Amino acid sequence: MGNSALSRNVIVLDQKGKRRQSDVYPRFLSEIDYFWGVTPERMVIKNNVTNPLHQIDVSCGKILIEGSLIDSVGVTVDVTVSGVNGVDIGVEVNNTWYYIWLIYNPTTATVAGLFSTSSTNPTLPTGYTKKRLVGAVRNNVSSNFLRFKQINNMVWYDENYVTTLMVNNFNNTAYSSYDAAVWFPHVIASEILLKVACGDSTGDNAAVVTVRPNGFTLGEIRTNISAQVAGTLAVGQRLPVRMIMLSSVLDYKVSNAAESGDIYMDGFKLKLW
Amino acid sequence: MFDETPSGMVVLNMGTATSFTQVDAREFIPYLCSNLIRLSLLAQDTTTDSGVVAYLRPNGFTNMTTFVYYSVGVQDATQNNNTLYAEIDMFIWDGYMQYSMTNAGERMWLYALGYELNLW
Repeated sequence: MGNSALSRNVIVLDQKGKRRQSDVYPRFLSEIDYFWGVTPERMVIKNNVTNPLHQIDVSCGKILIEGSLIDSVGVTVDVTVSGVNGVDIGVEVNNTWYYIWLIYNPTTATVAGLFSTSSTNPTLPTGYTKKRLVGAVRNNVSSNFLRFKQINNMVWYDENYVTTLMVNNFNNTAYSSYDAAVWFPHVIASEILLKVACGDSTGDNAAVVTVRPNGFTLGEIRTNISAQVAGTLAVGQRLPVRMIMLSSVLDYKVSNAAESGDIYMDGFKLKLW
Repeated sequence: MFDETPSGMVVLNMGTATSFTQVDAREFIPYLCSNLIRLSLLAQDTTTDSGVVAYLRPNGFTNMTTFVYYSVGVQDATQNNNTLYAEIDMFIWDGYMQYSMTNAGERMWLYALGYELNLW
C-alpha cells in the first residue's frame, strides 16, 4: 500500500503554467489531506464474497492512521488466522464482537487489517506501530460472522429477518428492557435502526408499540398505530424506527395486553469519525 | 432535506412488480458521500384482500430475499384502495435499491425527501 508522507510537496505554477522551483516547498497536511485524515475516504467493510462467514474485506481511499496518510487500502482479514490480517491474540472466539482495525508498519510502509476484541487497545503484530479503529463485526454463537455492509459510518445487516429478530411476540404493557449488545457494538455506535412490528387481535381500532432508549423516562417513540378499521381482527404492521442509544439497552411495551410486538435489528450508525 | 414538490422527487412511480426490481435513486442521493436516503412511501392496495406489503432492500442484499423489509399492513379486507403513508430511511450504497410488492393489485410510490451526508 502506498503511503503519502505527512509532508507533501505543493507545486506553485506561474501564470504561464510553468513550475517555479523556488515555490516547491514542503507543506504540512493540505486541506484535502486533513479532511481525509478526519474521515476516511469512502470506507467500505463487508463480508468476503468467497468466505463470508469468517473473512471481512476492508477498503477505502485516503485514510490517516496515527499521523501516516495512506493513499488507499484493500485488505482481507480472516478470523481463523492469528496475527497480521487475522486476530490479534489467541484463537477465534464465538459470540463476541470483533473490532476491525487498520494497522500500519512505517518501516515497510505496509497496511494490514486486524481483529481484536478490544475497541481501545489491540495487541499489534511486530513492526506495526500504528492503528485505527474502522468498524466491528459480530461473530455469532456458531462462530460465523453476521452478514452486513458498512459504508463509512452506516452499517446494515444483510440477513433474513428471522436472524435479526431481537424481541419476539411481546405483550407487556409496562416497559420491559432488552439488552441489544449482541446486535450492535454500543461502545462505538450512536444510533440503531429497527423494524418494529405490532399486531392486534382484539378488534379495537389501534395497536401501539412504544420503544425508547433505556434511561429515558419521558421521551418515547410510538409506532405502528395500525388497524385502520374497528372490528378487524388480527391486524399488523411493520415499520422502521431510528433511535439514539444511551447504552445497549432499549425499553419496549404495547398499549394493551391483547396486542403484540416484535423488534428486529436493521443496522446501526457508528461514531468513529 | 429537499425543498421541492413531491412530483419532482419521484424515485418510484406506481411500482407494481411482484419480484425484486431495481430502482435507480442516483438522481436523489450523492451516494459516494451519503448512504441514507429519506423516503416518503405510499403503498396502495386496489384489491379486496387483507393488506398491502411493500418489500424494500438495498441493492445486492441477496440474503434478504425471503422477508418483508418494510411491510405496511392496510388490513381492511372489505374496501379497495387502502393507502398507507410512511416515512422511511433506506440504506443506499451504490445508488440503487430494490422493491417488490407481494401480489398484483398492490402498488407503491417512493418520493425522495432528503439524504444524510456521511462526511464526518
